[in-house]
Order: sequence, then C-alpha cells, then structure tokens
Amino acid sequence: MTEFDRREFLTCCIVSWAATLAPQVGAAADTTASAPPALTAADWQRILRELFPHERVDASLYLPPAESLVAAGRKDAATARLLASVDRAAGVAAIAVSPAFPLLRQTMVFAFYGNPAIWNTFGYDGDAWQQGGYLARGLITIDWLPDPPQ
Amino acid sequence: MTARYAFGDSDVAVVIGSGAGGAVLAHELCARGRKVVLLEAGPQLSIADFRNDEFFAYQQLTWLDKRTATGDWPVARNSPNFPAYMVKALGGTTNHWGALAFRMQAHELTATQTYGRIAGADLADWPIPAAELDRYWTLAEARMGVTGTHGIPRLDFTNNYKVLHYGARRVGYQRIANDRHAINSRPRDGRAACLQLGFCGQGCKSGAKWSTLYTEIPAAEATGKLDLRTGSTALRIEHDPQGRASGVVFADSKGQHLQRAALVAVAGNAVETPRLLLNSASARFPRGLANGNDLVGRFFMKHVNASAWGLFEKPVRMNRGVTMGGTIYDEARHDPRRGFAGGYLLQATQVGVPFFTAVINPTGWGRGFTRFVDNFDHLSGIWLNGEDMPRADNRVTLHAAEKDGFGLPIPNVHVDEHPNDLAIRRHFRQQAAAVLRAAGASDVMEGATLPASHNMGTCRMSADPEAGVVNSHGQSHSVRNLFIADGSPFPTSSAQNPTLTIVALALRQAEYITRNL
Repeated sequence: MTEFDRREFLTCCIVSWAATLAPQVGAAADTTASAPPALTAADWQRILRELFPHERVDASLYLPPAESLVAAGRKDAATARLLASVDRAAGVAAIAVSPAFPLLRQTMVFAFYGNPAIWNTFGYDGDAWQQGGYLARGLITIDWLPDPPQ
Repeated sequence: MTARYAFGDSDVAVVIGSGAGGAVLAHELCARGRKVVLLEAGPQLSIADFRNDEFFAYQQLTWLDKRTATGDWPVARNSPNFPAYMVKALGGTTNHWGALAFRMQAHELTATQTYGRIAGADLADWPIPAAELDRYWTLAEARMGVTGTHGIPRLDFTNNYKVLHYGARRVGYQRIANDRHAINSRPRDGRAACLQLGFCGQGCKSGAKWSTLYTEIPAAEATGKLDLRTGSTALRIEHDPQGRASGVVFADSKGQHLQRAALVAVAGNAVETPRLLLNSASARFPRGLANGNDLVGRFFMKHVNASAWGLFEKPVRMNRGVTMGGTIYDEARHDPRRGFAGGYLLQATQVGVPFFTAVINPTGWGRGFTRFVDNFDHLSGIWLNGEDMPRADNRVTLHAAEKDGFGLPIPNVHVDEHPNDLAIRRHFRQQAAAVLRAAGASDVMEGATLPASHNMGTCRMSADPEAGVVNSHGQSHSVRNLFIADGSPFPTSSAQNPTLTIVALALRQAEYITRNL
C-alpha cells in the first residue's frame, strides 16, 4: 500500500470504526454562545501531544491527526461544534472527560498510532510477512528467563 | 468443479454460512453425495489477499453491518454498535480465530449436577454423553490438525509463552502448555507449516492455521457437489403448508432469489442465526421459525473475557509468533471455594500497537497510558476465557426500529452479567497480575472486555422439545428439516474455546442427516 493509499484507507477506516468498535462520539455540546475561532492544526498538535505524550516521538508526527481534526471540522458542522466545545484553557484533564474526547482519541488511534512510521519507536515490528516469519528470523529473543520444557 | 443448481431444484441442501460449522457440514454432505448450495454473505478471499496489518484486516474481514448492544455488560458502553466481532468473508470467523482447539471437560457438560442450582442462571446439561462427544472431538482434532493430539508436535514456543510459563510456575500453577493449536507445526494435510508471523487474527498468511477458506471449502468443491455462492445474504427461510422448510430467500448482486431446498442448515454465528429465524416469521410461525416456545435468541453466551498486560524492565517482543501463545489450565476446574462456579483459562496473548491503543484500553490517555505504548516491546499479555452463565434474558432480539439495507430489522444483543461472571473476571484480574508480576512485571494494565467472538447458546439444544430449540443433532424440534450448525445450540459455554466443539457437532450432525433425511 502506498502512503497515499494508506491515508485514504485510514480515513475510510475511521468512519467504519467510529460506527462500530470505537466508543461513541458524543453529541456536540449545544453552544448557543458565539463560537470561539476554530482551533488550528498547530493548536490541536499541542493538545494531542499533551493528551498522549511520547517524548521519543517527534512533534511532527502529531500533525496528521491534528490536520485530520481540522479537516473533519470543515467537513461537518456538528463536528465543528463538537471541536469548538473544547476549552484549551481548562487543561487536558478536563478535555479527557469532555464530549469531544472520543473523537480526539479515535483520530489519534488511526492517524498517529496507526501510522507505521511511528511503530519502530515503540518497538513494534508491524508486518512480518514481507520479511519472512520469526521462525526463520529468530522467534525467541528473551534471554533473561529460562526456557520452558518443550 | 463448482456445481450449479437451479433455484427451483428442491433436492438441494442449503447451508447458510461458511465458517467452522457450515463449511464442515457442507463438505461432509457433499462427500456423501448430497447436492449442497452454500450461501456466504461475504466475499471470496484468498491467502494472497491477507495483510499483516490490523486496521486493514479489520476493514477487510469484519462483519461491520450495524448491530446494537444493551444491558450492563461493558461492551454496551464501549461499543454500543458492535456487540460481536466476527468475520464476513468466505471461511467466516475461521479466518480470524486464534486457533485454540480445546475439548470441554466432562463436568462442564453437566452443569446442573456439577454446579447445582445457581440463582439468576438458567443452566442446562448437554444432551450428549461426554464419551460420545469424545469420539467426535477426536475426529475433529485429526481433521483440523490440532497440536498435542494424534502425535502432532507442538509449535515452537514464543517469547510471550516463555513469560506466561515462568510466571505461572512461580505462582504455583502446574498445568501450562503451548498446545492445542489448530495450526500446523509441520506441513500436513496440504497445508504449510506456521512461519510464526504473529497475525493469526488478520488471516493466516502462512496458510498453516485451520481455516475453512482453504481446507473444507475447496475439498467440498472437489467433490463436484458444492454450489458455492459468495456475496449471497440469506434474508428469510420459507416453509411449505406442512411447516417444513422449503427454501431460502437470499440476495446477491443480481437481486433477490428463492432457492428451493430439501433441508436448510443455518450456521451464521449465534447472532445472525437467531436473527434469521426471527426474521422468518410467518402466519404459521408468528414468533419466528422454530420459535413456538419463544426460546430462539435466548441464553446468549460469549465467555467472560478481559486481558492483563504486564510492563517488564527487559524486552519481551510479544508480537513475535502466534497470537495465542499458550494456556494455563489450572483455573479451569470447578472449585466453588474461589467464589464462583465453573472456571477459566489464562491464555498468552498479543496484539499490535494499533489494536493495543484502539481496543485494549479504549479510553486511555496521559502518561499512565502512553508509557505502556512507549514500552510496547516490553509488554506481555494474558487473555481471560471464562465460562459465562446462560440467562434467558440475555438474548438476541430484532431491533424495534432500525433496519438494514434489505429493510430487515437489525439484531440487538442484550447482556446483563451474572454475579458469577463478575467473580470470574475479578479472580482472573488478580491471578493474571500475579503471574505477570511473578515473571518480573513492574506494572500491570487491565484490558477492557471486548465485543464477543465466542457467540453461543441462542438456539439451545435439549432432549425435551419444550426446553430448547433443537435436539442434540442440531435439528429443530418443530421444523424437522431445519438444522443449526454453529455455536448456537451450546446449552452452556464451558471455559473452552468453542470451535473444536462446533466442528465436532457438525460432523455428528452430518452423520445424522445422512441416516435420517
């Protein structure tokens, strides 16, 4: 899959995931007050990095989910209201229990944790098939425990 | 070699669903010379289509049609539109199963005697003696190539199993093994050996895991008796004036058709199977086909599930090798001193970063969550597979308002957990954490209860026609040429993964059909 295919795929995947396995995204808060200016991708990048801090991950890798949120808000008015309900000043602990949190989280899951470019940082190997199975490449790497009887 | 039978051919047996039960039954009937039409709602895939990519495979394989969940089980909160996780593709859920193939224990088949009366539970005994099931389990193990049986060697153990085994011995467990995998450790029966890719749940690219996609289905086709129709969704079972099943209305890309039938076997997994019967209501069967006693859809079970993830100082690399690395059997006994009836298995398990972040902790954030992800290669997981209590009100029903693309009501799955289920989950959390810490874990994260993959019970089998939907052969008590061939007939769940028993029952059912119909 090319990177472009993968992005297309993940976008469509977010939709089906949101409709199925993910916790449901809450209805937008009914804000009758005049809406604050929409948060920028750079704002979301900072918020997501505070919510899901990974020191070893370059800040630029938080940009795809941030941009995905901005795009989702432009596409749909209800999503825009939901995102506008996020109060940056309240801090991440408040955002984590806000109605927008499930959307922020599932966007992180697909556009950040689902990004193969990040897996190596966490020690996740990803696709094994393209390199051959671990039977040939070394199945057992633990040398700090005794082997079980086989 | 695929046969083609006319829609009006009333000699055919129609089997609905191509997973463990449906494909084995179809193959067995074909091998005995019967004409079979196999309807599969999902697409035809091949091993070449599979990818070692959790999100891609989720999208590619999963039955994503909307369902709803109600009740007090965690799934109704975490995934209210996704109560059950199964596959919609040729080969059904055998494409993503973890391939653990256990026999039930004799005492688990007679719960009313072993466990006694349990308030709030509707226990029933299996109407098949253990000795007779043993015979079919033996056949099923040989057919599926289960390691540790019939002289089939075990798979090489994995890092994750090494952790499980060490921790288990240190807390005093005695019965730990990396066995009973329906995964080839050596080439066998036309299937390759396991390459230890670590993506059993995404379709086995080694072609080593038993999946009906590349075993039973091509074997059935080779008989020349199978008319395989993928992309074909069963909508309704019709009956004749005598109340016998006479055909199946199904939809494919060309429209809707009525396939006439001499007998109909439903193997749609224990959510879609009762839904199809309920959606087949008629003037004669106003509550749904085979549902005169209002038991279709009741007694839904799915095993008590949860997981635990240990964080280790040194690298584990749990993702290297089979998804389900091995099992601790000690807690699968019945010992009410632990505060619950029945038992559970602890199973070494692993997922990748995508699933770990998406579903294992579906609400996690902050450092308490991210430090587990940061140390992904230092994690080891244990999965809970516990017996759950059958309850009449835990049931699959038709949604009152929502309809699918064919205008048919979608299914709702309602589960209120029994106190026994909660006690098993609590006990597991304590024991799994103890095993992980004994192996050196500095911290343990609890994993959420996930949508059900071991769906059972919704067309209960019973000797007494008043007490269930089908007899011990999966034959409807009221519609004698209607059969159920999946996990729906299970009267109780036991602590054992269900697939081996689904296959055993399908083998027994095929013999019965050949003798009697």
